[in-house]
Amino acid sequence: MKERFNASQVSKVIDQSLVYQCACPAQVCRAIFELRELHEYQMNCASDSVNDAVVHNTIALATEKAHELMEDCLARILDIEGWNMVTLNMPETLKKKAAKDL
Amino acid sequence: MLIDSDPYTRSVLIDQLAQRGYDNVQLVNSALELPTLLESAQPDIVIFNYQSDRPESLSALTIVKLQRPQAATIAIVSPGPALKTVRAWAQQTQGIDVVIEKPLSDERFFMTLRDLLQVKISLRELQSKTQRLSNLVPEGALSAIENSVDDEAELFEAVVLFTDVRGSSQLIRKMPPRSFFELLNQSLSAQSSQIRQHQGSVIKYTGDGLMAIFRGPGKSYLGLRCALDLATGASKQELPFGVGIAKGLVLAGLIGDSGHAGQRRQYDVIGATVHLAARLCATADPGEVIATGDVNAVAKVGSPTPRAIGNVSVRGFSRAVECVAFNPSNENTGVDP
Repeated sequence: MKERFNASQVSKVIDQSLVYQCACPAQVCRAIFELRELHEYQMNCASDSVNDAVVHNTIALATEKAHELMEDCLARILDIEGWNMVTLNMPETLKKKAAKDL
Repeated sequence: MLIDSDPYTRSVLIDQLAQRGYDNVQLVNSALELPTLLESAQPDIVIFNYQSDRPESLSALTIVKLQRPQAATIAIVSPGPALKTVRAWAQQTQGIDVVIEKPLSDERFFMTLRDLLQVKISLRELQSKTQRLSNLVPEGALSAIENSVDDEAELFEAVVLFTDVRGSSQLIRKMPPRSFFELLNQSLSAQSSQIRQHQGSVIKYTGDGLMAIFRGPGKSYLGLRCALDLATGASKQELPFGVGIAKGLVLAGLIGDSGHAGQRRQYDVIGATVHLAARLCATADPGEVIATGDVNAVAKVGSPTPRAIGNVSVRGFSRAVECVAFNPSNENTGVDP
């Protein structure tokens, strides 16, 4: 499965968006990790029959599509919120806003 | 205590904690500060915000567990590979009590924090109660209660020691009662400490004195050595006392009203040996130890030299008991007993 953001990058976004109420990108990141785990599980799952293999492949394919969608979503919302797309640092304005909202 | 190397998340966390009334939070920026801080700080809970790009920061929790093993630890961790790393580390080192995933939800994080604090507070209260209880009840009673042997008496061989103030009726008339009470407490406290140092157990305080037992290997030596140490200088104290010591079978357990829950029961040690030791104590002069011949024969204390006093008739005993007397203070000062 193609990964636009590696694990370190996804974790970095979550680490900075600590509290659930002010962590929309982190919620997307969490979904990305879950999709990666689901995909990995389906790919590694033992298939006793042809039917089993079809089931796993079907789930894996759907997971890949969902994962791609969520990664696109993450890229878009990070851009909208003004994150530094190279360092993936949260913008200061957003930190101040989150601190105020909390 | 909050350990977080990131200034922003640290400030968010501290605000969140303060909003819920957790004001007394000590902030730690890095593991390097911990050894010095933990010399004086005794945190109930350590919250560790794990930054995925600093896996080496887990060493902070190793320091916490080494220096303050009683502190509960909560690690806040990003899901995904970071979570796997931290969980594996926790399993390997037992260095984390609770792992909570980011982003934090109020319910999960603050409920866990509240529960852990409650456990810590309850534990502290329990320890404090146990400490107070162990000061009030005889040594051995707590283990009898914990082992639920409330209806079973334990029969074993022991050396029984009694002390008792001589002439206390006159003494209490000579001084204000509060002063007598204070002196008595000081004396009993010092005696109890000596008994514990000789591996004995104080069973009860008997008004002006105490009763203690010694059991297990070396009990005769330890009991007699303790009696001699207690008696040294006892005749010159403001509350002079004598000591009696005997060896034999005793019965230990909880006695009293067991008919209803909450009724008063008391741990005690009873038997003929107990009576014998009490009677010998009653005949001892201030600063004198009267011991049965068998205790002296087994103990072989060497010094001071015992004085044979022959067979002593003891009320309640059909046969006279062979006894010896020690006057350790006289011997130490070179006075011929």
